[in-house]
Amino acid sequence: MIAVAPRSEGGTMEPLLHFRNVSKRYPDFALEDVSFSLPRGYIGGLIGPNGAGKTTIVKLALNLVHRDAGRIEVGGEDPAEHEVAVKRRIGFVHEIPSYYEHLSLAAIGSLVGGFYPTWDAALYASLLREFDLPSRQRFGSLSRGMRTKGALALALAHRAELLILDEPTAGLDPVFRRALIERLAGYVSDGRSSVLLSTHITSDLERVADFVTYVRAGRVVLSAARDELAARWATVRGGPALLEAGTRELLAGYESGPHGVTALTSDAPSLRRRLARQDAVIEPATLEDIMYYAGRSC
Amino acid sequence: MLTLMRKDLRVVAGFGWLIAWLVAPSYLVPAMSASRAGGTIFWVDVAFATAALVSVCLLDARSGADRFVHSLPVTRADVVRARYGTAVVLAVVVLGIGAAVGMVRALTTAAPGAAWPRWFAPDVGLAYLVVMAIVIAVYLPCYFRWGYGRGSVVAAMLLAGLVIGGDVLGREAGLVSGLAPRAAGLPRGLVVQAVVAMADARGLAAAGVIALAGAATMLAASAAVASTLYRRREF
Repeated sequence: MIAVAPRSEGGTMEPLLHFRNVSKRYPDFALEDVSFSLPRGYIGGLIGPNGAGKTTIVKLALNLVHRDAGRIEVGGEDPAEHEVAVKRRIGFVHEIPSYYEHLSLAAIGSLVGGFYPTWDAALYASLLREFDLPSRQRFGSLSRGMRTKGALALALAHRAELLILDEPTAGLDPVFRRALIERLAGYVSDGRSSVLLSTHITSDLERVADFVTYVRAGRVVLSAARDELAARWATVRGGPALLEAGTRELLAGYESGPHGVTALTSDAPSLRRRLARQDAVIEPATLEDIMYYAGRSC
Repeated sequence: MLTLMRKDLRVVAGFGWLIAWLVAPSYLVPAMSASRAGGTIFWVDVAFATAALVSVCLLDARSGADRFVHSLPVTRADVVRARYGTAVVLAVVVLGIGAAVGMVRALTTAAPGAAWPRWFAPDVGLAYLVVMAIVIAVYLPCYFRWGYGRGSVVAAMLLAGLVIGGDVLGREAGLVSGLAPRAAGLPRGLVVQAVVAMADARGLAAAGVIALAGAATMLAASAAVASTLYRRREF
């Protein structure tokens, strides 16, 4: 994994999105004590397996669901208290975009534009052309990938400060997926805007994310800058000696089998020092490694 | 709120051609038949306006667009208020269509110099607005509390209960026959007869002020209840 420099030259560490000890409880699921920040001018990745709570976090930022505890701020304002002002700052793309099926993208654009003072109709028209979308075709007749592109055009055309994308790359062809990732990098380059990209496809984030928050079973397992992750998190492969006292404490998760032990550490420098004379292979951890091994002990 | 109302009207207008095909025969058949059919047109108006309102709610529910709407810069209270506004606009538009049909029928079938049909009169139009205010005031809190499917069933049961209960109560108390003379073509119903009787007794202007103020108060109270019920809704 390569350490990622901040995307924007003008990026500050002023948080645009801030969750502090946020909890949300459902009868069969609970999001507990979630805290993380996303500064202006950066791309944040929200990763985790299906059902981990990523979409709930996204919905909380938009006040689509109500939190039970904690504090959320978007640009310093609480979405529950300043709902309209906060939502004007946000462009949102849902995993399965749902608009009125009988309306065309052109008609949906004219409806949505009325809600945003910053709506740029010319930009919307040019995005539809750029994404090869038929502006007069019924939304209900578009493929899933085209719907996502349409939703993206709607989110971009009001020049949102915070772009929240919930599993946007599912259903997209590889060419557009890569183009989208590059576009996101360009989007934050003004130092004013940020992107929160929620996904379980970690390869998308390896390319662009400056910050990563990993959620599992409703709890934040880690939240850190990518370069910090690259410096401190690593996988190690070796023999059973890896699980001996003194070394085991440095492991964040492991899997052992007939071919040895593969483990994850969040303290790579210490582990390197400890294993300097042992036959072990230490490599920078990918996000997928972190998702797979963190907390695992079998 | 106005942007949301424009959105609602634009969305339902997408089905304008379908509604026109369904509704035109509903108007034309009774309009061309005997004079008593004028009362039918009144209730066709009510049914048409109710169907248009239910369609707006259905379109949100069926396409999952309510999540999209709530991701826009609006509050839940905005959505509730706008839906009440849309419902009133739809009721007035339907009243206009019904009036146009009635006028065409009166001009083409009434004898020269004869009085216009009783059912096509301002006091009956006023009664229509009061009836629609009751329908809206019952339907929308149910929709915002239980969603489209269950909310529509509960509202239909409540409205049926009101119609049957009102009729029984009116007959038991001797109100239905005593409220107003049964002029030819006057639509049936307790509310219609009460409004017409009030217009007869106090004059149209005073009755209009009283009826519309009552309807507005009822809608405001209903909207407050709907907002409270909708406040905790999640998407």
